[in-house]
Amino acid sequence: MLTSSNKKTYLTALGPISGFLPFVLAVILWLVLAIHDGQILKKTENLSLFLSDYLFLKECLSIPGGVIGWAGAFLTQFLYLPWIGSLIWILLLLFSARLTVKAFSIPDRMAALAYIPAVAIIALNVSLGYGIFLMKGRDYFFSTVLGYISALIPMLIEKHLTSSWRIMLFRFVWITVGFMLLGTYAIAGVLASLISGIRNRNATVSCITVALIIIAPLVLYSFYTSYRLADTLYLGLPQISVRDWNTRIRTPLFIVLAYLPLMAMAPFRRADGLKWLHNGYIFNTTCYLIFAATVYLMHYGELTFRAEVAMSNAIDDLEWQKAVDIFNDAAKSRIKADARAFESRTAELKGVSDPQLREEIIEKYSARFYEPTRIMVLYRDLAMIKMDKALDYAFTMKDGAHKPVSTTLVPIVIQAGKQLYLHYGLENMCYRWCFEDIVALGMSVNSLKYLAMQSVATGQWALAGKYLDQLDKTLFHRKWAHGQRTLLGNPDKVSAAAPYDQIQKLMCIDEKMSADLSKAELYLLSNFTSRRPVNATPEYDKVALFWAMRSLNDQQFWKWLSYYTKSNHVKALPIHVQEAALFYNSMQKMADNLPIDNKVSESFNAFMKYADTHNIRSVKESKYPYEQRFGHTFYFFYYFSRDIASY
Amino acid sequence: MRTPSVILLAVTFAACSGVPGTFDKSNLKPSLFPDYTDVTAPSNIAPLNFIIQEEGDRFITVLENGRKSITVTGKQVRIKDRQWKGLKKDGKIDVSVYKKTGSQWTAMQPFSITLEDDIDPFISYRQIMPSVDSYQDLSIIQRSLESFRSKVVYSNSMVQDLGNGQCINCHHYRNYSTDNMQFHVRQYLGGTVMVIDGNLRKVNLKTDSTISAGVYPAWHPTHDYIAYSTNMTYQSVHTVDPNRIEVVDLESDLILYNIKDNAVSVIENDPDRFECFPAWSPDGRMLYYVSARYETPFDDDRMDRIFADCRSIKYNLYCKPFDPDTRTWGKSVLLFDAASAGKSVTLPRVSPDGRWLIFALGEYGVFHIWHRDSDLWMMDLADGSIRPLDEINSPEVESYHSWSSNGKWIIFSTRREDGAYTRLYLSHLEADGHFSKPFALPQKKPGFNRNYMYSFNIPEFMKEPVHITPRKFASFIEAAPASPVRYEPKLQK
Repeated sequence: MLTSSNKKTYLTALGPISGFLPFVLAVILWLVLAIHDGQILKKTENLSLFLSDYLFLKECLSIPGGVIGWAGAFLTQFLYLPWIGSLIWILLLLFSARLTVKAFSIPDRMAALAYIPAVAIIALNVSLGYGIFLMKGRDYFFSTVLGYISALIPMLIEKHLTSSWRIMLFRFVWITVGFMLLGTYAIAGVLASLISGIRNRNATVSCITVALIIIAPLVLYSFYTSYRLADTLYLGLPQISVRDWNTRIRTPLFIVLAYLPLMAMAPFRRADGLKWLHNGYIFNTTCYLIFAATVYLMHYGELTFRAEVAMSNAIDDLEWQKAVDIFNDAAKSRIKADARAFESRTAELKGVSDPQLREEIIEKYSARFYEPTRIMVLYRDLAMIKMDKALDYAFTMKDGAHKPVSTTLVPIVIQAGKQLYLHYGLENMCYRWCFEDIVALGMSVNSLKYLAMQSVATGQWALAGKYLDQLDKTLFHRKWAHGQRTLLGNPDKVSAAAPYDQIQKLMCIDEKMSADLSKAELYLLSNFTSRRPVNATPEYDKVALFWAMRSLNDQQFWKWLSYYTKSNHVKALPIHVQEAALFYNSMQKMADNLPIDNKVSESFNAFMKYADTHNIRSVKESKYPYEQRFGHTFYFFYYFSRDIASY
Repeated sequence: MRTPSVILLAVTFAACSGVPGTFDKSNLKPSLFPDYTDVTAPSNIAPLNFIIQEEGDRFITVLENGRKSITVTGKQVRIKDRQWKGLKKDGKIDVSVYKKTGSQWTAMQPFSITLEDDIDPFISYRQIMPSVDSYQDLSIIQRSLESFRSKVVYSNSMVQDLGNGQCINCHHYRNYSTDNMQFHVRQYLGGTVMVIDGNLRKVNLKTDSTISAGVYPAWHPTHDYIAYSTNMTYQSVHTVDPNRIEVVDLESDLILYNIKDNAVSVIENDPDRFECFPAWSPDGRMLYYVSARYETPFDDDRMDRIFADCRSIKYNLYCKPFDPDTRTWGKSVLLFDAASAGKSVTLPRVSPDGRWLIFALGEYGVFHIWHRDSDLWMMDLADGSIRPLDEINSPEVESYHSWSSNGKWIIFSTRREDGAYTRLYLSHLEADGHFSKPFALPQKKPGFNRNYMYSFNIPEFMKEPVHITPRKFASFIEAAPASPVRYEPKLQK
C-alpha cells in the first residue's frame, strides 16, 4: 500500500497531473459505470448468484480457481447497488495497481505501467455488451481483478523470504494449494516470481519451480472430474458459452496473465534501466491518456443495448410504465439525428434520377435512422398489454428490427424468453428456458426468480419454496423471496397479486405439444393467433387481437376482433382497432357500420390522400416522411413494418 | 404438589442428561424432513439425519436402543457415524423429540426406526438438471449407502467443450458387479462404453439393419449377452400440462448384443410396435419388456402424429422365452394388458428371487419420469396378480426402480418432494410381499434434498464401487474410437 511518505515522493516525482490522473480517471469511470451503465451492472448482478451456504462453496471449489469464482460471485452481488458495486470494483483495480508497483518495484517514472492489467480488465468488462447474457459462471466482473491480485501475492511474499528452501517451500504450497484455489492465476504468479528471481538466483530452486509448474497441474488434474486437461490454462478465468466470443474474452485476460512474466523481465528492474524517461511525467501522462482512450473505444455503448437492458430490468421489477418510458426516451434521443439524416439524404437525392444510384444513397443512409431492436419492441408491447394500453397506443411508438451490433446475435429467447413466456402465460416454456439458461450458463438470481414465479403461477408451492429457499440465501433478493413466500399455498392470494393476476388470465391456452424452435417472437405470434382456446378469457382475446394485428393478416384480425368484441362486451373500439378495421375494410369490405371515431376517420382519409400523392417507392425511402405524419397509426405500421426478421 | 425448587432441580438435573424433567405430552409424532418416523432401514445404512419441522424455541432429540442413548440438541439432528453404529446394534432405535415453546417443554409422540437386512453397499445414479434440451452438466455418481461418501464415475465435463456436447446415460451393471458394466456416451466421441471383466471397450451398436445404437440395457445374468432397446427418441414441451415435457419414440425395437462375438441381432422389430425396456429374469431364460401398438406411416409427418397421439400410445407388459445356450427365442406372451385398462407400463424389473416384478404404470407413454400419474405396481409372477404399491406411491411421479441383490430392498426415483426434482427413496420388502414405509436416501446434511438443484435418476445397486477411475474412463473415451459391431439375423425357435 501507499504510505504517506512514499506517496509524497511519488506525487512529487510524477508531477501533479500524472499523479492525480489515475484517480481522476477512476472517478470518471465510476461515474460512467454508475450512471451511464448502472442498468447493465444491475443486470450483471441479476445474472449472477452468490449463496451463503456450504453447498454453493462446495460447488465453486469443485474446479481449480473456485475460490476466485466464489469471491467474485460474492462481490458481484454489490452491483445490485451500482454505485457501491462499481466503487468496490474500481477500488480493487486501484489496489491492484498499487500492489503491482510494489510487487515489481516499478519506479515512479514508469508508474503508469502498473495500470495495464487494470485497463485490460476494465476493457474486458465494459466491452462485453451482449456477452453479459452468454458468460458462464457470471462471477467474471470481479473474479478477473481478484485473480490478478492473487497472482501478485507470490511476488510480494517472496520479497520477505530470506532463504532458498523457504522460497521453495512457499512455491510448493502456492503451486499446489494455490492452483486448487486460484487456478491459472496461481501458476502465473509463481511464474512471474520465478522470472523476476527476487533474492533468489538459485538454479536448483528455479528448476524445481519449473518442474512443479508443469507437474502439479497434471497431478492435480487426476483429482478433479470437472474439466478437460486442455482447459488447464483457463481455470479460474471467465468463460463464455459461445465459441465465437472466446478470443474476445480471452485476449484481455491473456494480456493480464502475460503482463506478469513480462514485467518480471522488464528492463527498468535494472538499476540503470530506462533512465532516459527522467521523472516520467510525459510518459505516465501519455499512458494514462492512452488507457482512457482504450477504455472509451472498447466501451460498448450501443443505445439500443442499454435500452434493452434497462427495459429488461424494469420488466423484472414489474415497472411497466418505466419500460415504455425507456423505450420512448431512446427514440426521442434520436429525433434530431433522424431529422439530420433525412435532410442529408434528401439533399443527396436531389437531382438523382438513376434508380440504382438512388437505391445506393437510400441504403447508405438507412442505418442512420433510428430503429428499436425486436427485444425492445417485444418488451414495450408486453408492458403496454400489461397496462391495458396496447390496443390504443402500442402502434403510436416506433417499430423496427435494428440488428444489434454484436459478435454473436443473442437469440431473443435466450435474452428475454423467460420474461416473455412467463408474462404471456406460457409457464412451461418459461420453465424450459430457465433451465436451458441454468444448464448452459449456471444458476442465477434471474433464473431462480422466474422459476419461482412460474411455480407460484402454476400453484406448485413446494417447488416455488425450493427456489425461494435459494433466494433467501442472497443478500439483496431475500426480501423479494419473503414477499413471494406469503403467497404460497394460497391460490386466491396469488390470483389477486401482481403479476399473477394478469398471467393467470392468459394461462387458458389449450394443451398441445409445442416447440418454439428457439424463436420466441414467432412462437408467441403463432400461439396467440393460431386457434382460440376452449376456455379463452376476455383478457386472452384482447392479447390475441393485438398479436393478430401484429400478424398483418386481415383474416386473423377479423376473426379475433369478433372474439374480442363478444367476450369483452366492447362498446367502443380501441383506437388501433378502429384504424385496423377501417383500413382492412377499405381493402375488402367485411363489416358495415363500424364504430369509428371522427378523428380516426379523418386521420385515415388524410393517410389515403397522402398516399395518393406520395407513392411508396420503397419502404426505406418513404418511411421517414410517412412516419412524421402517420407514425402513430396502425396503417403506418401495416405498410412500414413488413418483412421484419425476428431471431 | 412439588415445590418450585424441586421442579427447578429436576429440570436442571434432567437438562444435564439431555431430557427435560417436566413436559407436556403431545399425541402427534414430530414432523421431520426427511420423514424417518417409523421406517424400516437397512442395518448397514448411513445415519438417518433429519430436520425437525416443528415450531419451537429449543429442541432435544433422544435416540436410544435400550443399552445406548444419545441426545442431540437443535432442529437439525445429525448423528455421528460412531454413535449411529452403536445405536443400530439392537435392530431398533427409539426416537423421542422434545420441543420447547416459551418456557414449556412438549414431548412429541416417540417413533422408532427398525433396522433389518443389509443392503448393497453402493448405488450409482445419474446427476442431471431437470432440463429439457441442454445437457452440458451430467455425471454418473457412485454413492456409499453405509456412509455419505460419493464419487464421480464419469462426468461429461471431463471431455466435452464448447460446440462438442456429450450426453451420458444408462449406466448398468451385470449382477450388481462393477467388473462388467456399461454406459452410453452420445454425440461427441459417442459410443457405448463397456467394462468387460475389467477391460474397457467402446462400441457403436448401430448397424445398417437396426434403428439406433443400443439404449436401455439389460445384461444377461449368466451369459455374455446384453439386451437393448433401440430407440429414435424425441421430446417436446407441453403448452399447459404440468408434466411439462413429453418424450416419445418415433421407432423402437429390441436387440441382443453378443459380447463375445461383438455381434447384434434383432429380438423384436415389428414396425407397427414400439418395444422398449428389456429386463431379464434371474435365470436369464425370460426377457420381459414393454410394447405398444401404433400404426402410422413412416413419412415426414410421423413425429407430429406421434406427438399429437401420444396420449393414446399405451405399452403392455410382455415376456419372451430365451434359451441362452442356443440363443433362440420363443414367442412373446402378453403378461399384462395395461392398454385395455387405459394405462401404460414401463420399466419392468424382476426381483432376484424371480417372484416379483415391479413396473411403473402411468396413463400413457413410456417415459414416466415426466408423468405425474406414474406409480409403481408389482406383479406376483407366481400367480400373475398385480397390485399398486400404495404403501410406496405418492401423488407425484414414481419411476425408475431397482432391486437390491438380496431382493430385500428397492430403491426408486420419485418427485414427491417438490414435483420437479427426482429424489431417491428406499423401501424394504416384508415377508408378506408388502413394502415398508419408503424413506429418502440419507444425507449428511438433512436439508440436502431441498437445497440441491440437481435430480438423481437411474438408481442402480452395486456390490462394490466402480474401480476404474473417472480419468481412465475419460482418457479411454477420448482415445478409443467406437468399434463397429456385426449384424446377424435372429434365431427363432
